[in-house]
Amino acid sequence: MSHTFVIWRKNGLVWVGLLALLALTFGAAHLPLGGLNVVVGLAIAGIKVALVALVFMGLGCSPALMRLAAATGLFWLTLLFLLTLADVLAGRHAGNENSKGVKAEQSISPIR
Amino acid sequence: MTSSSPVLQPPWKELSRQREGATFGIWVFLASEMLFFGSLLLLYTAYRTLHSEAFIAAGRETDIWYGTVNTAVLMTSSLTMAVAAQAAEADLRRLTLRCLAATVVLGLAFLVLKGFEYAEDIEKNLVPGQSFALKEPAAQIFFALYWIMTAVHAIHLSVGLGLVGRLLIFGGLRRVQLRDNPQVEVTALYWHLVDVIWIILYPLIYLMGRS
Repeated sequence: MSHTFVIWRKNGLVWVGLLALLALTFGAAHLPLGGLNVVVGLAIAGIKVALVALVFMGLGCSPALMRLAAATGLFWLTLLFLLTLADVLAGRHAGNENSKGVKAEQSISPIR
Repeated sequence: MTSSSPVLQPPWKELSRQREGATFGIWVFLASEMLFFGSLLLLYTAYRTLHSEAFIAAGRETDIWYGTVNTAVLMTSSLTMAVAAQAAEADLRRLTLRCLAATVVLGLAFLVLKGFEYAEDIEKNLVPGQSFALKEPAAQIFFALYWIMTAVHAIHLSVGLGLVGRLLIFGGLRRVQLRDNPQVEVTALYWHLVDVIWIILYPLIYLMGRS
């Protein structure tokens, strides 16, 4: 088995998987799932990202230092989302209860 | 890995250490890019929690076919880039150059399709402002974020095209050695990140309100 074939087979299988997931997410978006549509879309995107990161970007067999650098980015991103969304959602609830008084203090004020 | 390799640069004494340093460096940069795009995605998420109906209505106006075909194009370019990087490792020069060329062609195809899509968006008055097509005010926020995120992504892709094109031209002219060169891996990792960003943008922009 030539080296060229081995390279194409390994990466080609991931590519077929990515295209299958694209077809799946495209189809799932047309199903009436309500609020779950965005969850399914993001979950499938997450699997696609994992495939690209682990195989194409080689994180699956990288030294610990590289994995740590990637994980650090993910860690800070999680922190950014958690803390900001906690504030946005708390602001929205406070805004609903006492709509006029709190609005000016909200980080993002509703337009409607 | 010997210290006499033509790709070895100071201050490194060994090529393996140089490659490790370059790969670590690009991963730190990619982590900062994750935070850069993450802040835009966070803005999207925050506004979406406040105006979910307007965002779904606005998302329905995007062209799902352009978005889907472009996703397939970019994922295929990631395949050719991955094969190019691994072929360079295995000293398969011709395969490396062919795959680098395919990556450039697919990247250009993405930009051309995006250009047609932008023209259609402008024709449908989907640029925020006085003559915006939708009546919900928050739909303008969705499209403001659509234009910013896709344009910033296209700039990143253009930078990637420059990096891959450079390797293709100088590699083809034998002015850059492709085998064992950390530049190939660094360029490939950057290209894959551009693909990863698009994979995340796709459901948030194009798959909204389709059911």
